[in-house]
Amino acid sequence: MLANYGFYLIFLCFICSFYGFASAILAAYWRHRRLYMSSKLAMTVTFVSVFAATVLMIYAFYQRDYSVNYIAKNSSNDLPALFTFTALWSSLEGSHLLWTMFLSCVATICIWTHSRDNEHIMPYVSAALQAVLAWMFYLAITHSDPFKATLPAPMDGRGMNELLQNPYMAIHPPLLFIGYVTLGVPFAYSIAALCFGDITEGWLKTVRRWALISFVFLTAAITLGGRWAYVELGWAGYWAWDPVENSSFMPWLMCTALLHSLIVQDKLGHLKRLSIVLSIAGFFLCYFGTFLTRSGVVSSVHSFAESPIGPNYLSYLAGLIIISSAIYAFRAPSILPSDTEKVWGVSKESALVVTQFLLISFAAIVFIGTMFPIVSEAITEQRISVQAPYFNMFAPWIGLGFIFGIAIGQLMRYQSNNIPYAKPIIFGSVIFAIPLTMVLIYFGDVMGTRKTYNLIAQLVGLYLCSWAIGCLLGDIYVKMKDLRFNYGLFFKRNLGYFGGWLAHLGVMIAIIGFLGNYRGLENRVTVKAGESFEFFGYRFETEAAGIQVKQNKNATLYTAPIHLFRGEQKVGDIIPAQSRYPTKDQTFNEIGITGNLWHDVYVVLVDFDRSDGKRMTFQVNINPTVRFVWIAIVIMCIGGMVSLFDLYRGNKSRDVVAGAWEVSK
Amino acid sequence: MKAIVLSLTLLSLGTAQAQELNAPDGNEAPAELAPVAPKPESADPLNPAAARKPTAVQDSDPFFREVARDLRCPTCTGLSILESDAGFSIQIKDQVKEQMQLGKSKEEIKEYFVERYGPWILREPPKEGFNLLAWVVPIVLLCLGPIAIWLLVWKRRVHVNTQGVRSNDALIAEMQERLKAIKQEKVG
Repeated sequence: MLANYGFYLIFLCFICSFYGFASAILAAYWRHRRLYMSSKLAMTVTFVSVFAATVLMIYAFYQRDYSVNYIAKNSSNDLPALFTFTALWSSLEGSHLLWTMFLSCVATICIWTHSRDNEHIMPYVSAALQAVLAWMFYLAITHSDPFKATLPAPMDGRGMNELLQNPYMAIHPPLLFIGYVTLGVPFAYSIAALCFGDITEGWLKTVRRWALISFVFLTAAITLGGRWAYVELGWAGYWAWDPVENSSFMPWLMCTALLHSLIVQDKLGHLKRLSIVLSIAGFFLCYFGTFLTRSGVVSSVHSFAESPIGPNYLSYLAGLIIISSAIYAFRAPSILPSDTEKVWGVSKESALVVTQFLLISFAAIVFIGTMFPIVSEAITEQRISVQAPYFNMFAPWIGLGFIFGIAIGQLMRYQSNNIPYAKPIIFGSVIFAIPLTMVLIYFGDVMGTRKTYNLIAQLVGLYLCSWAIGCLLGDIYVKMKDLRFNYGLFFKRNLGYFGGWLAHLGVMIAIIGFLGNYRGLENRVTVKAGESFEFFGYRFETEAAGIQVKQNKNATLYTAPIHLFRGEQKVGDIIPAQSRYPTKDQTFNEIGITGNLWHDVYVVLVDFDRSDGKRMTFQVNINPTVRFVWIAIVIMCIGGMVSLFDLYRGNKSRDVVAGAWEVSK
Repeated sequence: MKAIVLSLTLLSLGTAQAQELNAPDGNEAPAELAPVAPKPESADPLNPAAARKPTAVQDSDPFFREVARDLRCPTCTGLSILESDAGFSIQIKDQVKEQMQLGKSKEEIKEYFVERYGPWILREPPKEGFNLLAWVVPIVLLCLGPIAIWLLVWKRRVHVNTQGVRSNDALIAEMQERLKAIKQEKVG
């Protein structure tokens, strides 16, 4: 019953956002301040109603109101409280609703908190955001209606997808959506700058801020998704280059490229149009990824037409790209090239351009790899697969570029062909890297866990990462020295630099972690209860009781506790298990993970004797340096957040473009 | 839903293939050489691995791992059969082991699977025909990109003289020519 109101609320949102879009356009055209105010209010009403609709949906979930089709499909009576909440985004319609809610929230914040510098372009910003919102609401009232009813209501729901009943999956989608929608603000500002015909001082600051927020959220969200795959799926990895992962990774690459091009724009005044293209491309790729994964086009071109979402998304994407390109084509000439006297030279700006190139090529390769099976099937009528080996062929080369780009680029200075202390830092790091590589080789068990064919790649990779870390440390030392170790001044003035430095350090640590993916050991053993087995210097002791049955909320767990010893010393307990949910006649892996910084001991309970539970088959993986990746991502996110608090960057544009243009006119 | 339908069709396909495998075939090895899988008396619920093990090849065999890493798990997204314990993957793994027993090389085994399941079974597109494009485009991009940047960014370098006047290469050449002409006039 309540759900009916939900539909009306969404419908109201659609009307409001459409009105808001139209009035913002007219307000921009007539320069009509009060009409624009009404558009802003329409935006606010939209947000309030969609928020109310979301709350209503959550309330209906807790009421277990199975007359709502979506709830009947994604919830059941035995679902624990936490997952009843997260069930909201466990399927298409609900996550679409959540995404729309976040977008209207961000859009409302964005249009009410703009800086005075941007006042003249705000009607366009509002129009761009509300056009997107109007389309999302249109989808929500037609093809992906979360409040669709089934009457009579069933007694019990079909249950939430069991794989998604995991704390990481609970927070991964909202974070990803926040990352996506915050990328909408740079998009709207880019469209606005094109329509208005100029980039102003405040533009850079605002776009940089939102792109940074997006960077932090996307980084965290992608990693949590990987972490979910790691602890839930049981193939001992966290990144498989599958289309779903790729489609979240491409916006991240675009967002990162945008952050770098904004720096060039700030320092040099160049690359304004590149920033605009990257903002639009990043936002487009968010929807493009959703289209790929939700329309079924990935599994086969021919399954595309089966769901009405697919063609709708396609027309939206086509509309988005055609309109954006048209605006760009007609209006880009009005974004004048910078009237700067500054030159590129062998300076940090040039290094940033190289970074752009690497990031954009990486995105292009991921895009090609993701799209190629579809294109190939459409053209040659033959199905092919593009999976990890393809991406792993190119990714290391891009990574190599990143290592050199970060190490040397970080040392370079803006507007200067001179690298201060270049020789001592670069060659000092060559020496410094040797002991660090030794430590990594020794503790990272490179010799013990290597797979035959890529030892040299491992060693070179570790050495170069160590070298780059040496360069980064040298760089921050020189920076501090220039400030005479006045830390107060450093943290007051250089948070933008420091955040970037942290993020780059994070990338290096992450690459060391990724190298661990290319080594590792695995073993499959079958033991009787109470027996023990040895692997990689560890002794795994099973309990004599064998399989123990436990009830964990709605799931029944069949656990096989293992006590892990190294010599006589106990290292820890691992509890691999299989779980069974009442809603499905299938068991799921619950992986047992323990270990230290240098490697994870990853145990999957593959099978066990169903009659008496006295014999078990385990799959044991030793995964080196996985934790490096998690730590690195935390460092990268912290870096992004630190940069966010830099009050100076972007505030004072060194190149007053708007002024120059108006004077010359 | 679609994934389930897909996996079901694949599974039925797979069993059909497996039956085909048992049928005498010109390409297959003579019967006495073919490995004879001992029929398990009863389905061992504890260890299906023991029941299905048709050959002496271990899962940890490096050659087996190398081959298995390049074949996709038909029912999962993005995984190789090596990383997957789906029913269909286990079947393919057994087939790989059988083929290894026949003494085939890595390429021959892959070819065997491509014949049966199409190039779809390989985890990367074959480097021929239209699919070559997937390999060429990134390589060209990575090689030509820096050159393009070089031309676009560096060649359009703006010169700034001591008076702060901006000029470019063409302008400088023109000026120099004029200077030359003036000098020649003076000399002449």
